[in-house]
Amino acid sequence: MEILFIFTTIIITIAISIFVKRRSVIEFFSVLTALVVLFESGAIALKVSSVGNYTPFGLFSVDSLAVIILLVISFINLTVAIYSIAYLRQETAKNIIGFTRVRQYFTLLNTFLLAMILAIGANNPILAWISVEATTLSTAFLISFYNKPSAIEGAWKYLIINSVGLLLGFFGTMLYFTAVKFPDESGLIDWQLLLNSASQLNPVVAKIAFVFVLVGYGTKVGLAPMHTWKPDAYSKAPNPIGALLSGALLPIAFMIILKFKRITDAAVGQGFSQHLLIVFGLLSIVIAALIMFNALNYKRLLAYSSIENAGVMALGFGFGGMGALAAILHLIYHSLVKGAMFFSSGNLLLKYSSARIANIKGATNVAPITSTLFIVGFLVVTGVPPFGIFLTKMQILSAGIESYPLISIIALFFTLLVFVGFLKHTLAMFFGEKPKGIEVGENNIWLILPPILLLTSIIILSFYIPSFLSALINDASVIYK
Amino acid sequence: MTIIILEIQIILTPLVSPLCAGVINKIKARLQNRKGASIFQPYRDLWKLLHKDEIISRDASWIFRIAPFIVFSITLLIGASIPLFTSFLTNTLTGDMLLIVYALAIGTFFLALGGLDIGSAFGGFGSSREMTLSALAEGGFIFSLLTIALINGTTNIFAIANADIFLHGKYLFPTLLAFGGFLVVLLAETARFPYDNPATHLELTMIHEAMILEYSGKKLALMEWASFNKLFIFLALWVNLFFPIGLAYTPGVITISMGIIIFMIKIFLGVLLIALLESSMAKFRFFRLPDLLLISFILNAIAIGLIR
Amino acid sequence: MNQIFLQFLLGIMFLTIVFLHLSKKNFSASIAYGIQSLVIVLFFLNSFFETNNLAILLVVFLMLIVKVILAPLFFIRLIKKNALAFSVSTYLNTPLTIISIAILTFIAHYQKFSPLTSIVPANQDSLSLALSAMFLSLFLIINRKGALSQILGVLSLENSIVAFVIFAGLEQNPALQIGIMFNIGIWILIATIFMSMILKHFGTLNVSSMNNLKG
Repeated sequence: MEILFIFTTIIITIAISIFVKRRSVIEFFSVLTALVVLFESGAIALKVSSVGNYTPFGLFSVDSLAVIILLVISFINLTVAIYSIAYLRQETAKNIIGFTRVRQYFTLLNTFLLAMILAIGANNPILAWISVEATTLSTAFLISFYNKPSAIEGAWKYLIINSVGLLLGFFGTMLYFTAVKFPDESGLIDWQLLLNSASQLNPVVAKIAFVFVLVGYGTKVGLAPMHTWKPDAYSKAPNPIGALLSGALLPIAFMIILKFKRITDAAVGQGFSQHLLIVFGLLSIVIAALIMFNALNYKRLLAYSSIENAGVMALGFGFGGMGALAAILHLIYHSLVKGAMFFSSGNLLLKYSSARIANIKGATNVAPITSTLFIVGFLVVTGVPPFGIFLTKMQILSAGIESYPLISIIALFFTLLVFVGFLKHTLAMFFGEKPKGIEVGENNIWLILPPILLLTSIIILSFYIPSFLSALINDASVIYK
Repeated sequence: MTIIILEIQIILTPLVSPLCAGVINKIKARLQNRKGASIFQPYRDLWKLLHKDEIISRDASWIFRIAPFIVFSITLLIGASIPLFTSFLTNTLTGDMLLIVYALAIGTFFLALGGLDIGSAFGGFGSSREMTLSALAEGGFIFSLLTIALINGTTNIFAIANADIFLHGKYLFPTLLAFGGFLVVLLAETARFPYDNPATHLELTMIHEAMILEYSGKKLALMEWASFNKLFIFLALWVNLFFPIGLAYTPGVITISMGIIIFMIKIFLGVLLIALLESSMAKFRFFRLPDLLLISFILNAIAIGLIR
Repeated sequence: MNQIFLQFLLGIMFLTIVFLHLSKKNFSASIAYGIQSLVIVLFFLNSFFETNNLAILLVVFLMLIVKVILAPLFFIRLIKKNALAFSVSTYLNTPLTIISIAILTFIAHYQKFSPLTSIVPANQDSLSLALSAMFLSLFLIINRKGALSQILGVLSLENSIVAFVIFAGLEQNPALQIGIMFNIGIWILIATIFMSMILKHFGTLNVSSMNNLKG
């Protein structure tokens, strides 16, 4: 079956990365795995769109929202794998890292992928927790990859803050289990069982549990005020990993929050969780907009943009109804465009050897294609028409304007502020005279193709969504409204 | 029968307290691989001091002359008012825990005044240190006794000593916390490690010794004896209020003798603990002592908070 | 093992967390963590006696090895190799720390949390104590400047949550416990490696010296 195929290929690749000494073999297998995963995810998606969910074993079950995220992850993973090969080769050529590091990179990358897929399909909340914790563990060394003091600092903050957050999420998870009173059967307690027993949940406990889950998994998503690890981690990790962290891990953590939201809504009604999501969402947008102005490092800029978009998604799910539908679309677009932006900023990093905005000038003259990609990405991610994110943001805000007019207006204002802040930095980086000593031209075709692929898919998806995908999105929005 | 019991109750404290100090010194000496003085040495020291002449400074006032008597009689009074080996000698006049705490405070007050009276520098700073520690320890002292009082619903210590230990079943943890807090206060009030070294010769490290530096002869004997009594009183309170097993509930030769024996065993365990503590840690510098007393205070406060 | 003994053990666990706050030496902090984990192992042993489920015995065994023996061993080895006898200071001084500990304990026993702690009404005291242990562990992570203390704080938080879960009668399938154990084991490994990396690059375990990332 598809999922077994996915797992076996990933495990084989991990083993190869650990034991094989030839670089090209490792790289080949990583890309092969990514292709296999994408293909099988497509097959699973087709199954889910017709049947409703895909449950090969009791422990592993994928519903519509999960399969959308699975598709997004596998697509981004493919681009990440291709890009990583070229990126790491460039860095090895510059003597920044050696072969052992490259091997560690691919091992951890595939472990990360395995943990993420497990987390998507975990049918038991505790298993989901274990998988998300496994993603934290596998990315810790990826963030401290370059072994500089600042990288270690970023990785340490990431490790501690995320571990604390996940432990709080674990506590919240266990509180939900108080509803299920009968002693352990041999079967595990799955999401559906929790949902069915929601009526037996003490309402106050349901509320407290959701707060813990939101704060806990919200740390992983990067909602303010638990966002402090994001700028440090994103700026220190290698760029392809940043693409995965932002584009893949964020949706998974969000999905788990939404699954718990369903249970709390069944116990105490929708209002409580919606209000909480709106508060955190608005806070994230405001904080991200304000910090963005003073960003000094363009990788941190991307992190702030992630925080803002996570806030928009939270607002969408908080407003409910059409807002939820828009939020799911926003999730897809955001993951794709963030990937593209991380890739193009990776190219800039290779060229200029510096991540500071002040050191990047005249990039359009140095690397024209990369610059175009970055600028297009900037336009997409800040919600400029006619791209998808503009439509989703507008839809979310209009979903909220009737019941929460003040919040929608504040959110609109701050999203515009985000645009202005980002614009300021983009103008500084891309226009003007290029500094001496930087060679002109793109380094490698494989560094440009992945972001082009991602951006093209966004542009296509902004105007046309294939029918099975739109069926899945509609189904997901009905379940998680 | 009752007369005999009362007599024993009154003289037990001054009789046995020098023995406690002697046993502590003996255990410490053994742990240091020495032979150490005999356990009856404090008796001999008191005897020697009682037979010596006194020298009193010209600047001494009546406070200096009266303080030893007040301090000693307070310890005698308190020693007779607390449950030692019986729990049926209830009296409402001196059997209340608040009275015990503040009567001991009167003793400390006069001790400090006596130290200040002569006007020497050592006596002065000894008194000031003692007052600081006493003020801070009072919080922990009252709160640990308050925990027990809240658990038992009364502040009469004989009523508390009468209680059944299995009441602790529900309140075991608060009792243990208060027990630990009381230990910290015990060490403070009886001038033991880590607050004060009773065997030090260096005046700058003294607290209790500095206050009695100017005394000699009979008054010194009374002061020393009073400090032994205080140690005994605190140990008795510690072992009898928190875990009141083995006390004689009814008069009778067998129960009384059992009561005395079990009490001696408990006191011995306490003495052993103090000796081990003294052998394993160094005296703290003065600025760390308030933190320690605050820890005791907070532990007791938490213990009270945990009582439901 | 009856309830009173279990509550006594929980009291010991609470005291170890208070001790972690007050200790000045890294060695005693690691030992305190070992004692805390031993208490949790005893809890699971008790549930094994009650249910006679062999998988729980396996969990007990794993927990004993990973948390009680290996983790303190790793920490102590790191301490000895780098001569880190004294733990780094705290943000709040000792009296304020102690008062905050008391306040957090009282908050956990406050009425607002009674729906949480009356999940199993008979165990309400123990659940409140476990909840206050959780708060204290969080406070430990915030208050202490040393990387080792932060690691011990995270591990204490995990222990307190497990204690809460046990007293609330929510013990889950042993297979999941093994999975969680595995995770925590790898976490300890990674955190110890990070600690040596921090030492190598920064020369000290003081987290406040790591403040280069701004803007």
